Amino acid sequence: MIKKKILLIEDDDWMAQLQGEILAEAGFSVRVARHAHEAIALIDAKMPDIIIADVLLAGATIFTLLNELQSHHDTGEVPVILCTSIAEQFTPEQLKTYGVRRVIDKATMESDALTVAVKAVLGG
Amino acid sequence: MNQEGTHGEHVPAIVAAAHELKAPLALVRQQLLRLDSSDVSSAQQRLIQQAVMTTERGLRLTSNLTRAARIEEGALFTLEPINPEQMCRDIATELAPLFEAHGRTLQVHQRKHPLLLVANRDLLRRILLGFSDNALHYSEPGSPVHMQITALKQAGVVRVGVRDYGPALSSDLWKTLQKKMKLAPQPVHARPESSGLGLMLAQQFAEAMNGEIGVVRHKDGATFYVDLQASTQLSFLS
Repeated sequence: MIKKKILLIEDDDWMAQLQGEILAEAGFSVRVARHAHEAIALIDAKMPDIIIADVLLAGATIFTLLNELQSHHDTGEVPVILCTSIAEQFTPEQLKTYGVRRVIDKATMESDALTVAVKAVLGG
Repeated sequence: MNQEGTHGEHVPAIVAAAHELKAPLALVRQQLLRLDSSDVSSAQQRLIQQAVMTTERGLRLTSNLTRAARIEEGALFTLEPINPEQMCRDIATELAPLFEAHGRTLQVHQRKHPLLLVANRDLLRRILLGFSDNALHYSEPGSPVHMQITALKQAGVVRVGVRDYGPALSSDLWKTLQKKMKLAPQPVHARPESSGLGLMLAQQFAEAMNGEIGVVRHKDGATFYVDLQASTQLSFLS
């Protein structure tokens, strides 16, 4: 069975490692990018089935990248889950245009929150 | 330099600090939750759960600080009719593990007729979580903390209070505190570990909903409350 491909954009190494392990254990193929430029390189190399991204990254925020992805037909189709400590600042309406399907609050999320969200988005 | 100027210069630093603290606290919580799901002894399990709950208290505070900053920036918050008893029950359920870990209970006084008030759901929740955290800290071990909702009909106000059984407050404390709390956190007399920061934030949240907070002194503790406008739907329910 082909594993679904997740691109995890997270600039905190330990958080990325933790989330990557949990998602890999759930049966997903996970690649990690620490910033927007690295994410673009990884997307160019292999299109992910879904993107999980932090908002506040070193350099540009995630919205610069998402805006770029939305301007292309193929990358614009990739669903996005935001996993951020500033989730309270966003409404679903604000994020719809960026392809964001779920917002997860890092401060309150349970261990399996990402896995559940990915399955819901990919299955829906 | 006037006091307002001093206050204004401190807010960005506090908010920046809150933002900076949020990420590492969230990471530690996630790491602890990961540990929690692996094989550990019951003693280790207890320590992990306590550490998770401690990080969650820290995260609530940092989140409140950033939310307060948004109010100061002029952000608007939607007000809606809310059943405060239901919200209190939700909070009691959410905080039950924390209270149980401290050997205390959080109970909600049930009303025969439900009351409705006008509030922003998120801000009211933050105020009541803060009062509950405060009550947990200052109540005696083994004692309950009560959440109660009362109607002040003449004023058209619904009061949501959190009653603790801890050290009493001096009678003139609140007047002094109210004058000072808008400028900077002040320690609460007889509760020396308190900086007053939680009350300052609660006051800001209440004001954003056209309400106010207050305290009732008891011989064996205190009731911290928030007064908010009663919903006009109240008349249909009581």
